[in-house]
Amino acid sequence: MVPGDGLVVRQQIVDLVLVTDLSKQAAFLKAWHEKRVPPPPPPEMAGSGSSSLAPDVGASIKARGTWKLQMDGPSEECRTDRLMFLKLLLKAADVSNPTKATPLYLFWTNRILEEFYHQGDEEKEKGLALSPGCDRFAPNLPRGQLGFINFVVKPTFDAIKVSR
Amino acid sequence: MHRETVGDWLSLLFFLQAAASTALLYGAATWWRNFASALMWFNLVIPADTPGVSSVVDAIGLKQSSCLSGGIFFANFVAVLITITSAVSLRLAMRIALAQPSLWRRSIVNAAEQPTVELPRLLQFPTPECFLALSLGFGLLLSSMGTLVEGCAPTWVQTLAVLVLVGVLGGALGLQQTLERGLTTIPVGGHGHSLVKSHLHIPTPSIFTRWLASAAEAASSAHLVAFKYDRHCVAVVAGGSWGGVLDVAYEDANRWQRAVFWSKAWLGLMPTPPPLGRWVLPASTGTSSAHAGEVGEAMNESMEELEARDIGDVMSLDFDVRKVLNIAGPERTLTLVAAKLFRRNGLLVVDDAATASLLQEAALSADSRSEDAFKGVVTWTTEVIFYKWVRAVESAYLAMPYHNSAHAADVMVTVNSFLVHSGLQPRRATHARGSQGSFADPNWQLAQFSLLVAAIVHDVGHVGVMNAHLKAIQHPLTLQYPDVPGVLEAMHAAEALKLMRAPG
Repeated sequence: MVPGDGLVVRQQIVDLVLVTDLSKQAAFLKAWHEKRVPPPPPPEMAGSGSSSLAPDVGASIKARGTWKLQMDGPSEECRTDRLMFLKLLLKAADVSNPTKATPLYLFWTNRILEEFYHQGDEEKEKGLALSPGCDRFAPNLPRGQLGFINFVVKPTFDAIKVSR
Repeated sequence: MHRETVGDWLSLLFFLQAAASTALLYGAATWWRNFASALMWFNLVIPADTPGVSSVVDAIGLKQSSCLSGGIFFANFVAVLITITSAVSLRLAMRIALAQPSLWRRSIVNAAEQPTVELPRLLQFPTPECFLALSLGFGLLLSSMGTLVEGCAPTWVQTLAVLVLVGVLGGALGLQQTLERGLTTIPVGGHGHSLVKSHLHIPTPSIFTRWLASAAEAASSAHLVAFKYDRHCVAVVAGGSWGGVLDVAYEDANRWQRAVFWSKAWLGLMPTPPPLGRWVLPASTGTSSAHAGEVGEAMNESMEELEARDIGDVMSLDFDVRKVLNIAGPERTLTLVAAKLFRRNGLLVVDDAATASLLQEAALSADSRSEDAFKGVVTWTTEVIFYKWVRAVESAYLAMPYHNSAHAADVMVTVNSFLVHSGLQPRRATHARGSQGSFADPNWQLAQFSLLVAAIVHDVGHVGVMNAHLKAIQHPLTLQYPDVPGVLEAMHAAEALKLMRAPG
């Protein structure tokens, strides 16, 4: 470790926290998928894939030739890719409730609903338009969760899945 | 209901309670006096020497002339009962009314410049004024008892003296109770957890003026501000009409220090705080290494408590944060899970007292950014420093239903389990000594560290509404972070940096 690492850690933490904004989800996933290179033709893959990727990509992250991620070195590019990977993991963990055991999932869901309803109450009092899912008197948990799972959770976890 | 209305309504209730108790007391006494006269009349109709009646009268040891006194004694007894009942029922009514989350909710969201402010607990029972009512009632009982004894007729002066004596004793008891119970929390609303956090003490004996004002103010004020006086004492100051020291919180202060702070606040000797303060945790101030040792011991005790129970594998995807939540409560969950996880990952120095204390000293000294202090990630995360830091983060989380510190703990464990499942992080971390982490690659060490820390802080200070809503209501945070799409996220990052600067 060198003294500069403190600043790196600090910057990484800030970037990681900022990326948990769900409205940036689409842009982030797009950038993530752009990291992907089209699978090279089979004969070339053996040559270029092993020479260019194998030394850089850790054995633990099985890039298998389709991901241009270089995460194991100290260089700037490696750091960027690594950070991107971390961002993806953090985003996934942040929305991972539906992937948990059902009682735990429902535990968290009830709590987020409570927060939504509070917001809905406030909006009602202030005469603002009710945000979707925030109306205490028109609960529709299944629909909200389906949307959440299909448009937020699934794309994120899919991104992790294909990155292996 | 508008929040000013709530305040007025509350103080009205308080005064109604006092008035009702007094009226009931005197009303009941008068009624019983009349009834006692009726008894005397009855006694005239049926002479006292009638067999049966006389034996009863003799048996109780009452003379005919003391029938009146007996009536007054009983009247006072009933009046005391009525006073207690009315106090309790009014208190309960207020408790139920205040438990409406929407009333509190607004106070917290509006206090946006101070999102971490904690409201005082108004609803303790028994409350100081209940103690006063009780003791006054017992005083009345005592003084009227004197009239029962033949030949003993206490003068008004004696009666008054008894009342004052008992009243003072009761008031002192109430004060003592309030100070002792300052560490309890009350559940508010339907969240199943307490919205109002602990360790706020109500300056007690300002019973009928300041206390009432503060109670009403606390429920209604949008300008509750926590102001730090020194490393022991944080005062909560109300804006609005009353505008004084509303409440005093103590951190790491002993009973004597508390008493001093409390007396100063009561006597108005506290310096006038600035209009907007910031809740400053003691962790951010320089502390001695002796204190750090205590903190470390506290952590070890907590960890042992966790070890004693089955909370599951903290490295596993199946880890259930509710178990820790049940054991440790919402105020320690993140701290304990984080400490456990960082230990397991070998990110903390364990069992190496010499190294730890050396690193503590280095990091606690003024220039913690010196080259020596950055020998490794471990430097920054020696047990104690890490513990203090994560504790500070945990208390910076608001008690929201979802976006609370338990959520942070959950995300942290989940993201760590991703690392484990991806094979990046060995499940059985070596119990690391020195700067040897679990990853062989120092780059990944740093990455893992950043990831876990980011998970810990990623929702810190979340106010429980969405970004769009913040904009719609022109929440002060949107002024603080203008032109940022994710206002909350920007705030989380900023708060995280602030917290990091403090202890490290």
